[in-house]
Amino acid sequence: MDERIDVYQENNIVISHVILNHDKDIKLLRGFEENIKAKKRYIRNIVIMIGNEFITSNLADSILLKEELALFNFGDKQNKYFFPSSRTIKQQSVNSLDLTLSNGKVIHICKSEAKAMVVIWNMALQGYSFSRLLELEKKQTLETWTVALEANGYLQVLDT
Amino acid sequence: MYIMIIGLLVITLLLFIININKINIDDKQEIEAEKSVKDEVVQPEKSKEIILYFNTDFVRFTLFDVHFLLNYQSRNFYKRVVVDKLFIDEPFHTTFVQLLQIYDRTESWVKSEKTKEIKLKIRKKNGNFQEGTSFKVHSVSEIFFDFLGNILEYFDNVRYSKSDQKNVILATLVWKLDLVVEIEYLCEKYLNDIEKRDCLAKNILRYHEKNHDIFQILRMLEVGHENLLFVFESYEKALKWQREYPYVQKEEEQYKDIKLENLVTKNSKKLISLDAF
Repeated sequence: MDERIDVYQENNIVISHVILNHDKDIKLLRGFEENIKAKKRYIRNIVIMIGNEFITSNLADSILLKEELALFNFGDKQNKYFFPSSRTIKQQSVNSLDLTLSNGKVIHICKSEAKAMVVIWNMALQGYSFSRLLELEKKQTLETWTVALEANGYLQVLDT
Repeated sequence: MYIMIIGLLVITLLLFIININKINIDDKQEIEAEKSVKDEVVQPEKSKEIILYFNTDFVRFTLFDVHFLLNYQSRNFYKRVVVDKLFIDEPFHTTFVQLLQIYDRTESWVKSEKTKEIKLKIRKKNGNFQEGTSFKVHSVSEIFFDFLGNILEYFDNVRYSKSDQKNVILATLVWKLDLVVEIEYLCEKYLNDIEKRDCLAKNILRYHEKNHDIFQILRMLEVGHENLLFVFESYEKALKWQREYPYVQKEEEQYKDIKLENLVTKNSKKLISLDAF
């Protein structure tokens, strides 16, 4: 009986983020389940956060968002998050994807930004196994998310 | 000849027996002498007995039972203020315990200054969304127990008279009562901060209407008077080193009201000795 049984393994979730775009403050949060003995990390959830707001909370939703970014102009009004639109800057018509946040602020994303975000997304998830995520996606509530965010220091204001 | 020999033997026997007896007698005398020396050491001369009668019965006061207070910190404060300093005069005693009870039972919180707010939006099974904002929070009861502790450490029996100490303690506890959500039913909904504090103070200090000093101290606290700077400093200290808890604010929040009828009254006191605390 040398092995200790980790009772809290279910709640032991490490969150780390990859910034997809600095100007618009778009982040990709990855929730990992750490198995220290086997030295492995399993992805349990992928979430997209813009500013201080969760946009998606689910694997399926966040993959859908990525595909909308990849399609860019070829998407239409059936899109769920990003809507293609055209506006004029310096008397030139420009295509962009629009997303409205809950406080009414609108984010415009141009084509090169969308491509770059997709590239970084692919780099961020290289080398991790998705088997755990597809088998048992984390049973999540608001409380579990706040505990995990607090434990990983996302609720703290950093003095810089 | 035989008779002579027998006579000599008898004489020697007699002499022997006499000698033995002599030796025994000497030993006994020595032992008795030792005993007498020991007795002199052990038993000195008896002095006259003086019997003093002290009153060893426990002194009893009319105090509240500790079971009225749930938290160990509030019990400690009851001991430090009421039992150690013997502040048992009547309108102060019950209102102090009532205020301790209110701060015991609150679940209300204050948002800390060093937090981010993150808006969460989570999909449920049915396709509905559940929304909430998460941030860090201080609990009001912990803030106030630290605040009271800081103030009590500042007090000196030389600089502050007993009545002043009592008035300052009550005023500081009433000063920030608007943080407690469970008492909001006592006042109307749409009031200023100052009006709300006045309303709460009148409700809770209803036995102190003749004591103008408390209300004077409350006015001085709202103005920020120089003489009460130690109160503001101790409140800031209590806030600065306070513990933080993660919290989710949902749309529906329900608090149980703390009703003043359920708090302690004057009649719920008992005769209790001071050793019980």
